[in-house]
Parts: sequence; C-alpha cells; structure tokens
Amino acid sequence: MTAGQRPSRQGSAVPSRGGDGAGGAARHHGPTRNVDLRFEGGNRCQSADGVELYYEIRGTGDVTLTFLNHLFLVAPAWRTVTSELEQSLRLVAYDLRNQGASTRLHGALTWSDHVEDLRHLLDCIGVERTYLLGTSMSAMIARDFALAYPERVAGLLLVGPAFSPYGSQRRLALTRTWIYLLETGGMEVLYNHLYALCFSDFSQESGGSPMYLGFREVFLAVHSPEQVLANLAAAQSVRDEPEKLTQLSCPTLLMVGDTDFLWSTSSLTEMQRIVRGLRVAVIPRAGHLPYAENTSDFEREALRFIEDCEQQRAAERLAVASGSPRR
Amino acid sequence: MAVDREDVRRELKAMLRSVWRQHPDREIDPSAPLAALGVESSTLVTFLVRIEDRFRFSWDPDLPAGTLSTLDSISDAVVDRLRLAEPAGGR
Repeated sequence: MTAGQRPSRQGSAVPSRGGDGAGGAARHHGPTRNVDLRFEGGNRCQSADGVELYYEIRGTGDVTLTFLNHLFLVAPAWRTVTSELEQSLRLVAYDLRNQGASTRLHGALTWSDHVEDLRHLLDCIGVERTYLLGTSMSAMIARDFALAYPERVAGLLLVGPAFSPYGSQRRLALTRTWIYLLETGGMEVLYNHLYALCFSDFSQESGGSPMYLGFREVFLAVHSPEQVLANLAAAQSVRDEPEKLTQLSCPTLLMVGDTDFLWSTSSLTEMQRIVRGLRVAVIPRAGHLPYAENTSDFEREALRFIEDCEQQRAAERLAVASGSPRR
Repeated sequence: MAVDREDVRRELKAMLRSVWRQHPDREIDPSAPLAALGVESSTLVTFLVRIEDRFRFSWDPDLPAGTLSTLDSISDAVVDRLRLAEPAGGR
C-alpha cells in the first residue's frame, strides 16, 4: 500500500469501504415491531440478589468459552466476531448487571457483584469449567473470578485488558476523564473520545465516516448515560493490584492490538515477568478492540491458545493415568 | 432528474435487506430505530458504505447524532445530499 492510499480490510468485523462486513447467521424469530430484537435468542438467569442476567449460548463443542463484555459492549455483539470459534467451541456471552438486556439498576454498583454474577451464570447453565475471555475493564472480572474459583477456569484470555502490570493510576485517571466527559458533554462527547482512542489508525482510515457514524448510532442506542455512569463509577472502586496476577494458576493469554493505547512493549514484558507461563499475542492493525478490528487474527489466536491448553491437559491426564511422570 | 424521496427509500430498503444477512426476511419498519430492529453496528456500517458507493458521495462526519438512526432518517439524509448536488432548476 502506498502512502495516502485508503487501506482495505479483510477478515474483520469492521467493514471497510468496498468491503462487506455482514456477519454470520443468527436465528430468525419472525417480524416484530417496536421491540428490541438485539436480544433475541437468549435466555435469562437470576443472580443471588434477584438481578437477571441475559445470556446467549452458541456452538456445540465440548469446551466452553465465556465472554465478559467490557462496559460499552452487549452480548449480541459477540455474534459477528466469533463465527470461526463457534465451529468448535461452546460460546457463552452475557450482559453484565446494569448492561444490555440484564437488569438495570438504580444507584451504586458493587464491582465484586460481577464476579458472583459470573458464578451464578455458570451454575445456572451447568458449566463446571470454562475458558474466560475478559476485555478491557472486564479483564479484571475474569482475573478475580480465576483467583476466587480456580477450579472453574480452564484458561484466561485477557484481550486488551484495562489493568496495568504497574498499577491503577493511569486507568483511574482515564476513567475519571470519561466520567467528566459524560457528565459535562453527554454520551456523544464520550463516544467521540473513545472512538479516537480505541480504534487503530488503520481501522479509522479503512472505515472512514461510515464506521464513525454507524458505530455512533448503535453506541448511543444501546447505552444510557445513567448506566454508563454507574458502571464507570463502579470500575473506579476496583484496583489493578498487579500482585494478583502473580497468583494466577491457569494458562493465560494476553492479546493486545499493536496500537492499543493501554499497552506498550515494556508493559507486555513486565506482564510476562509477573504472570507465570504467560502467552502474548500482538494483533496487527488493531487497537483496543482486536476482535472487532482484526477478527480473523483474533479468532485464530484465541483458538490456537485453547487448543494448545486442551492438548496439554490431555497429555497431563494421560501421564497421570499411566503413572508416568509429567514432562 | 429530480430526486424522488419514495424511490430513494425503496432502494435503500432493498439495499439494507441485501446487507443484513442475519435476518433476510425481517420486516423493516422505516420509522423504527435500526439498532432496535437488531441491525448491528457492522451491518449499519456496511449499509452506509454501500450508500456512498451507490450515490457517489461521502458521508459528512459532522452529521448530528440521530441522523442515521432509522431508514426514514437515512433516506432523508441521502435525499438532502442528492438535492444539494442537483443542478439549479432540477427540483
């Protein structure tokens, strides 16, 4: 590609001009008017305090991968970026409390409720053990769940996690800024800031105005300012606590876009130093949301990680069964 | 030739059907928010790209939020753009 030439994108949920990003098939439930159909095909389960969690299950594999939304995502969004994973895995996506089609709450949220909600969800749908994919803020939920219930986590996929191996200060400052933007300028101002920050230069060039405008319409339709404010405020109550990362006992993949505003070469190296056996995948032509920006690479790396983990587990079981020492 | 709003809306509806592969048979209420109908962001972006290609203009990134929220409002925006490009006396 020469300088000034508009980049085109393949294998991405972010369509480029001249491309076609229409995703895979979803179930059709017939024509309906004035109903929010984004949340069709899913179910609801109840958490301990009566909060209902909306969830969707796709795929029929023996291995389960559970997706944790970040604060600006809803469960149906995973459909368009997981068509390959769906072929071999059982996929679970759900809305956090006070998000999407899960119960809307009034007043303050407690971050630790997200961890218990996940446990209730897995109990409800009969999943004993799962791989967990946390992205941005929800990587902290995935991390804390893995520490609280290690027997239920086969592996962690931390995709553009919002925590830092150095500590919380930068994330807290960013979140304070987002709350300020929301309170003073509203959702549109917050969207403008997040769009510029989260998507790579490549995505923004290839997507152009249609991507900016199209994503904005959906962003503003899906999230209310009250929800976002409460969710951001709850995120301010949790700390990055890098020492927690040293306690992880499950296989862990850290996946970041190569222009993720939160990650650098040195912070990736620091993560590898403190997380035992950490695998790192850097996704090209992607920022903070590699699954949306470079879907094919995202799916390939996620699947490769899970398949390697499963092979390792099978080898360990075999070694135990045959009484031979582990290699 | 004068731009006919109904023609544009009909064409856009057919275009949306062609890119919204998840729900090829779903009724599209032109006054309903597309997000509420279940049109995901990637589909909406593809739709907007197709409109640019078909009508040979580029979307203005300074369009106010809500301009592209329904099929009706998108049709209005397209008609406005086309009429701006019409030679004088073409209306």
